[in-house]
Amino acid sequence: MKRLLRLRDLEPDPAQDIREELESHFELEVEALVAGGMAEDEARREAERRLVAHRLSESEARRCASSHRRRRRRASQLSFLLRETRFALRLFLRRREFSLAAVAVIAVGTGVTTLVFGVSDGILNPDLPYPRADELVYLENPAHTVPRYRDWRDRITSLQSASAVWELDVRVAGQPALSTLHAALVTPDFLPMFGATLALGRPFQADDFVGEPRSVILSDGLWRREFGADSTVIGRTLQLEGLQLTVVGVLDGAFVSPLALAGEAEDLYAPLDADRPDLQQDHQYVLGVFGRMRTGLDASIARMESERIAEELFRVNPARYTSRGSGQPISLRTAPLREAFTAGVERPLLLLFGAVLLVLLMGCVNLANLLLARGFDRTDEVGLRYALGAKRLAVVRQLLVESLTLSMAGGAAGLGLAAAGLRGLLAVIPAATPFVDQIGIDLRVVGFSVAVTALTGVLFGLLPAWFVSGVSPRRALAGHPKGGGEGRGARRLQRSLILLQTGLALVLVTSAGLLFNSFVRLRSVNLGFNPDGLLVVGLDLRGEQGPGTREELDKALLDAVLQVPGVGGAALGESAPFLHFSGRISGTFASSITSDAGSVIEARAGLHPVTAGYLELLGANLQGRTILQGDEALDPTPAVISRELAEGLFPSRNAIGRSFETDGRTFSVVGIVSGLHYWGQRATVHQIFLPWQSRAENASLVVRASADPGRLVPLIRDEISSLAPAAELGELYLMKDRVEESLAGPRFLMLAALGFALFAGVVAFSGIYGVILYVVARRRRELSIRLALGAPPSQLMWMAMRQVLLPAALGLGAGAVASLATARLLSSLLFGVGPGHWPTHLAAILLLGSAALLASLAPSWEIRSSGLPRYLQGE
Amino acid sequence: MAGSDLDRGTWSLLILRILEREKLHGYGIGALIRDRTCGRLDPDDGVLYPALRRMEREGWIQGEWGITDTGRKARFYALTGKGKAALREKAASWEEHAEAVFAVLRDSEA
Repeated sequence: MKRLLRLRDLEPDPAQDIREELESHFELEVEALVAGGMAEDEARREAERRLVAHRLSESEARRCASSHRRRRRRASQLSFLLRETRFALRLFLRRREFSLAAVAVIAVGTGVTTLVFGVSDGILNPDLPYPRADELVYLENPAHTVPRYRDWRDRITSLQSASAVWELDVRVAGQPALSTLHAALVTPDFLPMFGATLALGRPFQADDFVGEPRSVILSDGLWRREFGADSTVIGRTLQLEGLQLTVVGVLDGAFVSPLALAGEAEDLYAPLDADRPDLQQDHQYVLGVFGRMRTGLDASIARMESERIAEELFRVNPARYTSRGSGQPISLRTAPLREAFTAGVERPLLLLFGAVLLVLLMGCVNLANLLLARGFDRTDEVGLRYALGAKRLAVVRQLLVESLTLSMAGGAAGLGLAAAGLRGLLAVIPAATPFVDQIGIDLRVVGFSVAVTALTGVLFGLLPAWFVSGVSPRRALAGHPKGGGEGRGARRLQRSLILLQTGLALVLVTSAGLLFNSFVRLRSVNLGFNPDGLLVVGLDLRGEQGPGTREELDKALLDAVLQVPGVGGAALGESAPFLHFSGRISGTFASSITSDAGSVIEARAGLHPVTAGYLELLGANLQGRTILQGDEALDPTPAVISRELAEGLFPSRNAIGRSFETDGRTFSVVGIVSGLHYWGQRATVHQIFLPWQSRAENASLVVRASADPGRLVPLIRDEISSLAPAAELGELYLMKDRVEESLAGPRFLMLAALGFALFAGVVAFSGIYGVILYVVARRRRELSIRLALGAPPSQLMWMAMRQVLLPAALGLGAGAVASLATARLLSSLLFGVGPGHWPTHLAAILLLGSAALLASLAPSWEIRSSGLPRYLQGE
Repeated sequence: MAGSDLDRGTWSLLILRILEREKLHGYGIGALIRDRTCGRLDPDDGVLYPALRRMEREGWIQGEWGITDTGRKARFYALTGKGKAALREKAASWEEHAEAVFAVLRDSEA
């Protein structure tokens, strides 16, 4: 009782200062004992013995604790937290290496997670510049026919308005003489739907939308560029593709149409009368369709209604509502407008995000393991605190405050890393990714970062904290110091952590392997032509009204280009390979092809008018003959078709010499081209090459250079401008660069995946390595006794290795199953390998398995140098 | 453990006396007392630290965290003006007290 009174005298600050003073006392005592000639270990044990023998019994501690509780209730929670944080900080200064390592791991983990969140958030939740933008929807699939739009528009009830837009390039004559403009024909609701306001003039009125367009509204850009922001422009007349259009208004400069968000900005808007009889064509896929939900309705309602409407329309008019490509009923599905910009990138980004979270989780697991191992060394301290009357919750809290302090320090560094990494990342993100400009560190991102950081701290701190706090004060202080917190539960936990780490690592390594495999295959796709030295120059010849005919101009152009030194060959085509890639295709298409034997193919086939020698210039793999000079005059028209089309039209017969019909024209097959990847590595669209007809308004000049094609560009440009001064140069690219560019997306994905996999592998390896060293250190005494009793060293090694290898093997098993599921998610990104590609799965398992084995051999390296007996005794 | 039956005031006196010469930490105070008394008096830390706390509260001494010669962190105590006065007063009263005790002892021996 007397002693208890003395303990009470520890007021006013018993919890904190006295603890540290006692720690200091302990250290000084050890120091003195060591100075007196005692070994450090022995000195510590002696100092501990004195500390315990002198002062504390458990019952005293408990009684003392109740008085502490009363006092603690009075203490303000905030000052308590502050004190604990201060204590944690002091502790970290003392364990500098450990703290730095932990902070670094957390910084990298939260930094990368924040970075990816910032990117995904910017891209997947773009701020659309429209009033109540979340009400806006669009009709999936890029283009719809006018009759389908009308059918749909007349039936849908969940929208307050629907609109359609037809984008096209138009020639404009008049004052001033403009060449080509990007125009949008819009239905009445289009501009109001997106909140467009006018800077000048009036909006379209109801009578503007009857019949052919007679009025036009200019964009702010066109008005400034071509009309010098002249306010008298209202009332002027533009000649547009033979129509007389009166300027009625000029749009506000702040307006950005949804089409401009994803691609090209429109120069002018003209009214579209969707009910015009001449527009009711079932094969003109021209309209982009948008809608605004009735206020308060969820976007999914419009989606369901749209799908139901499509089914109903199919019943009424199966011909119109059957897909030409697949023969299936077509679907009409609305989706939130936001998704129009994110549909292509959502999946890769979410996968990336998932991978990053997995990596962060692994980092946490590793830290938890580290803390768990380190935690056993803190059992003395924890025991002492119990003895001084701390409750378990308080001890857990102190340990949690520690891990949170660590994670906050790491999180702050991580935010800095994320900001810095953003610059680097923006350099490798494919430039075509929509809303790249909205990527940045904003409040949402910072908020996310703080949340992730806190979660990390709790996650990697909670488990170890719970186990360490489970120590009994008496055992901790009186027993073997290292054995204090060692329980069956803690060991099981350590093993589960290894299992988890190995499993997560396997998922990441397998995914990276699949993506790598796909990339290699994508890269080594035989394009069916030779890209080396190929140069493509897009030409727009519509403005050109030279002295001769188009035929003469085309011929003169080709001749002039062929004269340029270094040019090995040149040809014209309506388009060129890789003009588009990644799924987008353009040009003229046949959709229904009938062979002379009567078989019909309902699939899209690109119609490519080309000059003589075009196919040879590409280096295409040809059978039969190519398109020749003068072919355009023959009847039926000679055509070279792709092998897949030939096999489909004329199964098991030679196609050459046969004929087919499409769009009312008859062609005879004179040649077959094999394996030509015209629209990118993945696309498989049928191709039909026809003789050049010198009327195509857009042309691609394809040049084969014998030397560096880049050097030819200015020379060729000069030739073109001297021959056709009004011609506009369109897209210009070196085929080799273009092919590389088409791989940028997959490459980015693969590199990111490999990075994560590498990190995950290292984390798993170091996790296993750390635990095996710990296991051996902990069981040194037992192992040396067994050794002394004659157990063979190899058997002892195995005893230790089993502790980590068994959970690692289980982890690999679980990971293999998880990998298969993850691979399914990846399947749309894979090329040439299926999600179940077993060699990749097997290789990943073997790779991680041997890494685990290697890590578990860690102690044996030391044993080799010092010999097992010395190693075991050399504590 | 020896000497733990000394009363509080006596311990305080010893500590004040030691701190009169130099600033010192708890462990050093304990060690000094042990040395000076050849181990006959050895304050255990369950006595020493509560005493230090009490004296600090009385305003006799002032504790401050510092670094020892060997680079360890420790709480150093210094005597305050109030402490000096207390030392003089306690020392005087202890001598008086001791003389009285000796007187009785001598008396009984005799």
